[in-house]
Amino acid sequence: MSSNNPETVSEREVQKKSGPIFKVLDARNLKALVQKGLELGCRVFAPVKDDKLVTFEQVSSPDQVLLDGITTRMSPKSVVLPRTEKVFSYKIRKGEIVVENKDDFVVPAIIFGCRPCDAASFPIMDRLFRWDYQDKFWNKRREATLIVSISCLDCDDACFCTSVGLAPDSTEGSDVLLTLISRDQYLAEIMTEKGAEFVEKTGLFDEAGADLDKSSATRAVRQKLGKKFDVEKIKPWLDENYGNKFWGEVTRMCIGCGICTYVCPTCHCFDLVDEAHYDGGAKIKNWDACQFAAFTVHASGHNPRPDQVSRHRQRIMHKYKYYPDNLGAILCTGCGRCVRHCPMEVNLIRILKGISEIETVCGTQR
Amino acid sequence: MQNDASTAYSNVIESGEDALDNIYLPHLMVIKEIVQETPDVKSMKLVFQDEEMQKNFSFRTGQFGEFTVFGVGESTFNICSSQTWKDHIECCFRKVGRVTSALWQMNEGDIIGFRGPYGNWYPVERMEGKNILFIAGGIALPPVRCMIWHALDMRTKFKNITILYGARTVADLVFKRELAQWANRDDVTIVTTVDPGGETPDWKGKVGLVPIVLKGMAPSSDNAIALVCGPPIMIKFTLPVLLELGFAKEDIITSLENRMKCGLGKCGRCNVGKVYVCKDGPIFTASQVALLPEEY
Repeated sequence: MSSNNPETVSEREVQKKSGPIFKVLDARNLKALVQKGLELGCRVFAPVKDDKLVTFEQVSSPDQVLLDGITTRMSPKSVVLPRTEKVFSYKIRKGEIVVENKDDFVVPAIIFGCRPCDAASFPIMDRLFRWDYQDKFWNKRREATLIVSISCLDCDDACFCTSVGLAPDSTEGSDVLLTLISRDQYLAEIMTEKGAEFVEKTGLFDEAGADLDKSSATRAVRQKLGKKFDVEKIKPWLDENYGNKFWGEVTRMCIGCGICTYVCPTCHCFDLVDEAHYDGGAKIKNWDACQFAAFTVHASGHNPRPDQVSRHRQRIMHKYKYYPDNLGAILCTGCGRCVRHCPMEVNLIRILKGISEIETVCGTQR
Repeated sequence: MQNDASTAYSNVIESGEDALDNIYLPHLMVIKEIVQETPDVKSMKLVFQDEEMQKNFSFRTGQFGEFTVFGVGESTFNICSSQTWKDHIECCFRKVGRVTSALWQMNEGDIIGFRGPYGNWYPVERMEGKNILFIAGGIALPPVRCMIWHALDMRTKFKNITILYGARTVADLVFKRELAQWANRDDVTIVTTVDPGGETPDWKGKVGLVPIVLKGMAPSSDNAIALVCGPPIMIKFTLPVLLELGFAKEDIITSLENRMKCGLGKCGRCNVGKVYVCKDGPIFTASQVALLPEEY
């Protein structure tokens, strides 16, 4: 599609083809980077300590930012897909209804200090919101969001990014990925034009020597993570085993609280509801969860997913079969939040490990 | 509105552009006519408030829309009129939840919101030149009725038209005046039935469940396509009868009705397996349905 004449290829395209740009950032300048983002007029979202838990929130000062956790309690998905948002409002004027399109919702934002698993969730969800009908609420906010992520140097038992094709230092979804390669230096991989523009405007980054490499810095955590299950075996099993009694066994503990979907960086299902005042109202898009009975119940009372077994199976099927079938990507980045926060200790890793080992344990049942 | 923040990086979207590409924004429609079909079912004739919109609007028979009662909520209904009618659309609903109860209270001249048309439509080209058997149960006549009128408006393109419609009681039959209209035509065969105990002293139709009456009718499956809509339990017992009569699964068409919110394949609730009823459906053949898990 692009012209064959080399002179018309813009410099930016050349950059894109030549892969990421490498720079370095002095570790003492990390806070200054947040400050620059704020000075440039962006809303900056970063991990902050809220009571005892680390969450992703909008910050007004770099001092609020806390970067030593593994992952935050909530993912940063709410920056692009707010928990609740107005999609239009309306007024009643002299008996007439006037619908007002909502078009002032895009405020540039920087997601700072998120983990590579969280950064990777955004391009995965792009596929859905850009599928056929364009959801401009996601798309435009997404375009106006810059993601500066930081590679993990540690993990916990719930982390499993390496099992779903990602890594503690993968660049998917990041505009800039920072990796602490020595005690006082971050290696910055600048993945997009947006990232390059930001890096240049901050004036905090230096040229990187050609010998710098992140792999030795993250080797230890990659080894600690290992592979918790064989992802290649999951979908072939799901394709054949919708009705397997395995589902009843693994979901028996599930109480349908829905926390797995709320903390998940890739769960995106939503509800549309009306809110009214005396002279107008609005249509509100809210997060919703497949774990609730009301999610699918028909007006007649009939429910196609009548029990927790079918609802829990839906969540796993959606992530590891339906989404790959329709949109070509696993709807999971291995952040481990659903494992960490489940009050009943339903463990996705254990379930997926079980699935990947069923064939070797029981033989294939076809 | 120029935001200072646009200096941070250049990909900032200016507000105000593309005001019309909001996929959740409804068009306003005026309720032109309301008919109370049964004690708890009404049908409505709707016209776009914007005349240009009405002129340019087109849909295919079998598609659905999202209907908003402002301040109350949005419901998914099949557009139960035919694509051959250009001056209005119709919808039909049972008063059962919050939105339909609010819609029930509305009057002619009131305004509701409409998004659509969404989903696929009946495979009309495939049905042309064939005998068509329409089977409907209860409140599921509307999604069949749109195709019945479509076929009647283009009558010469179809061979025999047979309609079997059943409801729990005589009072629950919807579109009664049209049932009479169809009965009066000599190019339509229509059988109406009510469940045992649902008949009135002057009831002249059949008494019995749809699958049993269908068995008695024994329509030929020769060069025929069957279109079946009804409650899951009716579908479950009607399908085997059709197969016994020799209908191929590819020649049995139905419309699924899972709960929806967006109608656009985003909100994530109407899927049956990997199939989204809103995008891939609502119209499926029995052979397609047979491949799906039972989540409908």
